[in-house]
Amino acid sequence: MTHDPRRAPPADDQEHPHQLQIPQDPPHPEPLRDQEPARSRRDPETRRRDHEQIDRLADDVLPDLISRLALSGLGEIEVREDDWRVRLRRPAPARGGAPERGDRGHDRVGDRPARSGAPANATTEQRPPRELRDERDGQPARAPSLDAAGPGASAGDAAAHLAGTHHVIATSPTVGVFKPRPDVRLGSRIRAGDRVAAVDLLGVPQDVVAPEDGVVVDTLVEPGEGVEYGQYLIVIEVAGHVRPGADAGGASSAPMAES
Amino acid sequence: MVTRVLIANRGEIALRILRGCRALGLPAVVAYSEADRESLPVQLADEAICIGPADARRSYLSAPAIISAAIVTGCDAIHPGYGFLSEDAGFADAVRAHDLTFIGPSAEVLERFASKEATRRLLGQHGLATIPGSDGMLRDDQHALGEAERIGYPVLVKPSAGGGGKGMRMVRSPRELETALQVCRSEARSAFGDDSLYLEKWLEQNRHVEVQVAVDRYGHGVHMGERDCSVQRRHQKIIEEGPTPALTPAQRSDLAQRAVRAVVAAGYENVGTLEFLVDQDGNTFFIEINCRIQVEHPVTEMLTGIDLVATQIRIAAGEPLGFSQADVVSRGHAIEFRINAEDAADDFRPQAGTVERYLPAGGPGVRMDSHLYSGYDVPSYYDSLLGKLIVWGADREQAIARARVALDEMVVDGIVTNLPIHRALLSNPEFLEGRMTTSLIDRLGGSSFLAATATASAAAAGRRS
Repeated sequence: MTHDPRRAPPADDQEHPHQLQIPQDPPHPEPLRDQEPARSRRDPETRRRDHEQIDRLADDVLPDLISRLALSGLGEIEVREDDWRVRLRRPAPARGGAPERGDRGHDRVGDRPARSGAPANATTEQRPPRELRDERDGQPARAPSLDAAGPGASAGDAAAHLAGTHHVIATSPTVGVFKPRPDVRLGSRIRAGDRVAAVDLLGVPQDVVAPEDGVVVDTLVEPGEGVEYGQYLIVIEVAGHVRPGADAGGASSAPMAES
Repeated sequence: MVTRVLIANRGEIALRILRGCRALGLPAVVAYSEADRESLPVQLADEAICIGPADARRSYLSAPAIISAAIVTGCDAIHPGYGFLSEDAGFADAVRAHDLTFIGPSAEVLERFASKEATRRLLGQHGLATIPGSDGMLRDDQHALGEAERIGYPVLVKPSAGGGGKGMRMVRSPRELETALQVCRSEARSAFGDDSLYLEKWLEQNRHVEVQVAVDRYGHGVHMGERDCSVQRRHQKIIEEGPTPALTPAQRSDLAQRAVRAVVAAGYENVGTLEFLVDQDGNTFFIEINCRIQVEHPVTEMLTGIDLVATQIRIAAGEPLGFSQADVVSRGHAIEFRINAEDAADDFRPQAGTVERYLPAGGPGVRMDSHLYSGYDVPSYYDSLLGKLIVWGADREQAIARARVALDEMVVDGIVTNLPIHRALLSNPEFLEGRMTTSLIDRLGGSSFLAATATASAAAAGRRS
């Protein structure tokens, strides 16, 4: 864990039941798994263990790390455990200075400029679209669909699929400031799991992830606008190659139709 | 300056804070989890913002999400309510670091009073008697057994962090102690993320009395009298009232004055509550301080006419208290009944479900603080508190008479509540004579009490139909 000496250590969240243990002296820091040449050589048992590890990292370690990084003045946090390593880096301020406080003159969501000059191209290494999982049963949540009745309605609505093209929406993974990606525009073709935008949580960008393969057809909020958890952000048109009644959450690998 | 408040809590306290803000002319934004989208505070707020999923760790306990929500909604202050992050010094510090006002004590003050054991020592030095207890935190089982022997059984095993009876056990022998240490450690670890424990002498037939204080940033403090919280079930308060029937007026005033002197001297700030155990002879022992608004604060509000939430906000904004001890006048008697979604017949298991019909009680001296409405879905993720009925009377007899009417009138259909327990308690001689101790409900927990409960609720139902 890299400490920036200018600031106190990150706020300690003693109340959090799943507190992260950060080993001072990692037992097997190297080699890192992702530097190993041939992933395919893993036996099924190793594979299973790796997947369990990844799940645990995404569910427990990452939210905790993001929380620490966001609250701290640190630039970077790294955790090593066994042969895994997770590093979160806060993007450098755009013009070198300390993050500027937003103007307080307005009182509507969306009127607020971004707090820090964080460019949108920096990443946390947060990978899978965990935010799209339904917290209640751990099952992947269905992507919200414009064609269905609302956020709670089934996106796998058979009629919509039969009609061919349907729409799904990428939602906000947290509460913060919306940051589009310069390389994602109207008409951009994206794949399920792609990072299509970010929401800035106290200077730490959180990925907005495409729920399905498709084409970006609309962005529902302006850059710099404040958004809440679960807010609809980007509309994606999905070509109608899904079997009737198929789960919309399962990304189709069928080729995209020209839109 | 506080001009717009983010309420980082849920249920009845979010509603209470919203009302407090409104009365001060402050707009308020309610931060809510996905499970609370349909809740009353969200519906009534000036603005509401979803901060995360139902899991409190990613919503009501997520400091970054809450601070970010305050910033994007243009708030300059955060009210944490009770529970969740309300006494978390790290959170208070992070709020301040983002140029926001934390409505509560400063991070330094929360830090100073964070450990119950250290607080006992600190306030002990400032003139409050404390219960004989272990010398610091328990290092291991051997240390615990030695300390228990020195203090004398029975002893109470207590966690340093948290409250609400979690991680707490009374034991009467070394053997019970060894088992309790394991259980308490694991409960405390999962509830508070901290498994340090200490021991306290267990007082038989004790009563629980607490003193409400308010101290501004300039060291000016007042007390607002005491509340008796002896009616508990497994260390969780169910009924609170003031004044306490356990002490004489002279004893009460002496206790309250010593309490406020001690916390002012120890550097406390904002509203807070000092909890004491009172033994059979009227001796008082300080046990802990709560650095937040409490569930039972309406008892004091009914007695004194002081708005404690408003007081809390004004102190946090840096204003002087604006009144002195002589201005605090307590009139009459007030009793609060916590209405919980729990089934007494099923070991008080918490209940979730839809409230088919909700009729609050009314009438002179009756106050209902609740986020219920007919058709509301009680989510299963959070605590079981549905609301509080508070009654005021010129004296205890009148307060009890009004409580009887109010409890009979009140309807919460569709979900099992503890209303029958309250109705039964109002015919319990120990309670009626003001002789209740903290073991009352647990002692009565057997079949006789539940039978009385059934009779009382049947009678109430009969009157209603």
